[in-house]
Amino acid sequence: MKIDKELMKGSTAVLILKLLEREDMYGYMIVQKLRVCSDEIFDMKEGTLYPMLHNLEKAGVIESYWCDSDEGRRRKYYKMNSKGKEMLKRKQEEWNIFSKAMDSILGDGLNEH
Amino acid sequence: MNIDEFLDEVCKYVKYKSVHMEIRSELREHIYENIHEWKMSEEEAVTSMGEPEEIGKAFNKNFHLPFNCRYGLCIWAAMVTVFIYLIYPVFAKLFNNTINTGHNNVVILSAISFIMFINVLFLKRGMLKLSFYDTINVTMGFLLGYVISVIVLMVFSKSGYYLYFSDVKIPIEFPYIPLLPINKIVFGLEFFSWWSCIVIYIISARGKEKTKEKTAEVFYVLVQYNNTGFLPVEKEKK
Repeated sequence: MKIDKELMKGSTAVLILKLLEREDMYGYMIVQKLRVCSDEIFDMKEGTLYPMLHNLEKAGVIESYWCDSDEGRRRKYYKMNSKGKEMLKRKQEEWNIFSKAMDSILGDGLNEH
Repeated sequence: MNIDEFLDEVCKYVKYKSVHMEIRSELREHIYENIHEWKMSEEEAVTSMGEPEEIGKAFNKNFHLPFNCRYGLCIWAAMVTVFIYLIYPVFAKLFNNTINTGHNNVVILSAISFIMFINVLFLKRGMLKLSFYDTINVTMGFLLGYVISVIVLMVFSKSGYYLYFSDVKIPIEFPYIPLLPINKIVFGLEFFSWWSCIVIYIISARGKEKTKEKTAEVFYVLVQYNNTGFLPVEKEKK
């Protein structure tokens, strides 16, 4: 099932941060992880990830560095910093409140009021 | 569409040319990963990246010169120039205790330092690493702004004088330029002061871009310190 683009727009940043919380990753790895961990629900056009990564870097929540891989390729890795951790925590709390409210209305919540 | 065509198309929408190489490297590596990992053809790997226009426009939102191109810089340069000319006698008064002409080196250096400091303070916002094309834009923007501001100032002056206050007139000094007729009044010494600021700024910014190492940072800090007496506002990222 294809998820609405607008719905994805606001969520991708926090998904990226969540993945980077565990380990440093490069762009290709982030795309694959998103796809695999979401059972292909989050299947984005791969090139569109990079402006988001640069946006997060510009916001100062992630940092990047180039690294040579074993296969002889140069990869640009991204890692989360302390500011990113704070943002992730805040966004997760927001999401919990938001999703609870949505579930309550989309579920049987309306009937109870 | 092959890889190079795709990358050209993406970069077409990114006005800030200094970052093109970085964008190309990163996207190219991603496409190669798809080709090797999933055994895709070049065309398939490029298609999986998405629409180049969408990607390019998204990048363009992140990377831009402050004031977004030469016309914005022109307006900024005009504002700064007019402001500098208005406070020029203030500097002269501070150092000479009189309203003087532009012969005093300390006054000129102070004016240069002030211009430099203000420009660097504002132009340093964002990821300003000037490439050759961006340098042209910055230079043309400043030149246009300078010319406009001097024309505006001269409209309100008489016979080639900058009118600061009701009884204070600063004559436009004619700098000696070989082969030009001596009775032609061009611009004042401030013009060359102004140009020296731009040259110094561009050299230091380009030096910073090209080497990206401590030597460029040291040069950049030294230039700023010597010209402004101030250390850089932002700490350099490693």
